[in-house]
Amino acid sequence: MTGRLPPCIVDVGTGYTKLGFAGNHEPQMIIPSAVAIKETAKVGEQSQRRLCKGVEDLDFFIGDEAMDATGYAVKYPVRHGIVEDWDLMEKFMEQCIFKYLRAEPEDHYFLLTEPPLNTPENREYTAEIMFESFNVPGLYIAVQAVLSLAASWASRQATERSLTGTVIDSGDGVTHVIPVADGYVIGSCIKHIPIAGRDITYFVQSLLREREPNIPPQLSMETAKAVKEKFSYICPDIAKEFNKYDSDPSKWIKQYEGKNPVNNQTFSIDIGYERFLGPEIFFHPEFANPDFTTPISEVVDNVIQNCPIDVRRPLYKNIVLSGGSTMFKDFDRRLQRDLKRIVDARLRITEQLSGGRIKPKPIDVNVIAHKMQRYAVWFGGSMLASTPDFYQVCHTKAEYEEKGPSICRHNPVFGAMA
Amino acid sequence: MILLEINNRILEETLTVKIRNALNGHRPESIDVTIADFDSVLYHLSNLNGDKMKLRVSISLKFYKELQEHGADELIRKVYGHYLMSEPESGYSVSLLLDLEHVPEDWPELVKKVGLLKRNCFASVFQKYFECQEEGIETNKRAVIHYRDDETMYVEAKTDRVTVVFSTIFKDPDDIVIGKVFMQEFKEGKRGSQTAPHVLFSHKEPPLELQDTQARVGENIGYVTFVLFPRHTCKAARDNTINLIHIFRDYLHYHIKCSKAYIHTRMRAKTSDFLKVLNRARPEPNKSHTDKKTVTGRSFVRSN
Repeated sequence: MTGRLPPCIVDVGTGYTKLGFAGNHEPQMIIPSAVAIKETAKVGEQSQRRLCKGVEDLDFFIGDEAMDATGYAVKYPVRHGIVEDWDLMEKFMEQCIFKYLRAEPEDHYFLLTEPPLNTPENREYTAEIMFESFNVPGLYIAVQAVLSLAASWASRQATERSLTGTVIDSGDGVTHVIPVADGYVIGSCIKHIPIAGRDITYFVQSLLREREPNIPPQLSMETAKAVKEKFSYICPDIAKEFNKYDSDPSKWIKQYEGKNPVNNQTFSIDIGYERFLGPEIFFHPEFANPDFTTPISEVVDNVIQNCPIDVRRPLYKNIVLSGGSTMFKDFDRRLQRDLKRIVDARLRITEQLSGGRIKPKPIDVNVIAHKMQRYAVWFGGSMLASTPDFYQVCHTKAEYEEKGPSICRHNPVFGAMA
Repeated sequence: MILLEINNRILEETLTVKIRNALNGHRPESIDVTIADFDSVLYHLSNLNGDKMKLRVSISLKFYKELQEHGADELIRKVYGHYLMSEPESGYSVSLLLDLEHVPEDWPELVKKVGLLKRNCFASVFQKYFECQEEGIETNKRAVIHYRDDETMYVEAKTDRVTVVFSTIFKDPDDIVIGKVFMQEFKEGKRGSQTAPHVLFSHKEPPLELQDTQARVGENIGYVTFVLFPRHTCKAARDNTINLIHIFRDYLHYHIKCSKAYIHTRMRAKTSDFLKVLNRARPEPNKSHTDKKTVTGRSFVRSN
């Protein structure tokens, strides 16, 4: 059908919600996934307390406005990627659609995202909200990891588009390694790494605290974040990198200027080893976290080794990065090199053990970085929703009324080149 | 949020980011963004002829032809002045051009104005009829705006009032019921506030004003009539009236959806209540058969 309005893509994450219309390269709105509501002091269960007379149910804020609202309680309906409070979620969607997207939901198809290992019941609840309250004409619930894979197609030829690969998704709170085969997540093999953006910021902050006394304490977090985002990169070898800095400091050490908002005085700091030590904790987690010492390359290798044997080669071949904390320069090259070493070492051992009789075929290891990494999930959704196939796989309102919410338990995979 | 906002936030924010970038001297980046708004409106932000410093904002309204009959072009020209492009982008109704190399001092004003593009397109028809009424000219022609595919708005001016009629379609049978109750409440609005306009609601059949037109009749159609008196159409109140009335249809549907969401909240509360009752009614397991343990873990058997 021509002249159809663009589908809405809504990616509700634990921290931030990404909103926008299909066909664009970046989400149009990025807001905190927070709802600010007025809470009554009545006793009783939460669900009972929420009932009210009049229009108080419209008295709430979401996103940045929720953070600024005074006299309201700020709540997060999403925990660990999974929706916990459906009342709040419904309200959240209400304002997402009418205030931010400004879309009449009856005119637009919707693509929503879910984390891997979401329950089918949650999908049904989502379908109920979207179809019953908002009368959407069509709905598709996509798995975030699959969308990240799709986002990586942007940088490649059409013939190489596959939905098999390993997704490394690193945001602010936690990093996941998720293997996907033919568009389906291999749930039993997912691994989490307790090292992500926030940990890097903390680590940089602690390094700066030891060395730079000029930073005003209330700005120390902000400064660390700026250093992380603007100056950090990943080095091939720390020992050599230290030498490089020591032999020619003027070339490598950068300056950062900040302004203290209290007395309007500027301060300036040197940024030295922090530049490469910050993101290095992905590869040497023991620097920052005494309880977790497995480098990311080893975790990825373990994940792939746990998977069924017939998908391991394609998984090694297509390792895709997604999320803001994978944006460090040369992250892909370092990961690829370290992973390649592990894999090659294993192949050598096989050869030795067999006494040289078996010559295994070398394994391709490919880590793919692309321009859309930061909002990869949203971008993947935007890309898939602008293909004509999208309308074929969407669950429609007519179907919903015929069969009920159970239709949304399964969302067919689409978009891969057959 | 009881009233819907009339400005487009996405549009405003995108422009603000662009202008800030230009003012701070960052490298300009190309832009190609399509966003939607209520009533099937589409905005398209792009660079004119690939020049990254020229930002073109286009809006497409399906019913712009009908608005043009009521002087939309003049109004847009008056509001946007030299920002208006003489030839709109093909496929779009109105195009504005912002030059990022010469950003005016009061650019936040400008961004606000662009954010109201849709409202200003709509405003012309109301402006015209409000003026007619003020000058006491009785037009026999009523304006018919097909603002959505199967929904229509009629505006008519008499010497002492302006009537605005909206037809709207309810896609869901539940919506009809909720919509009816909601409109009932609207009719009563006059009692709450003396200055409120007169509101009439008719379901299935068009009101008498539209009797001779081909207004649609059907189970899922509702007609809402606003009678605006000089109090509402005078110069001082005019802008506010237009702000409120042009988005009325979306306002109505927004509230129907919110009511449903609230009903769902109530239903969830009730369910958890019933579940509690059910759990209380569950028979206790027969105590005599379970053997009790002492603290040390030995079985305790009563010796009677």
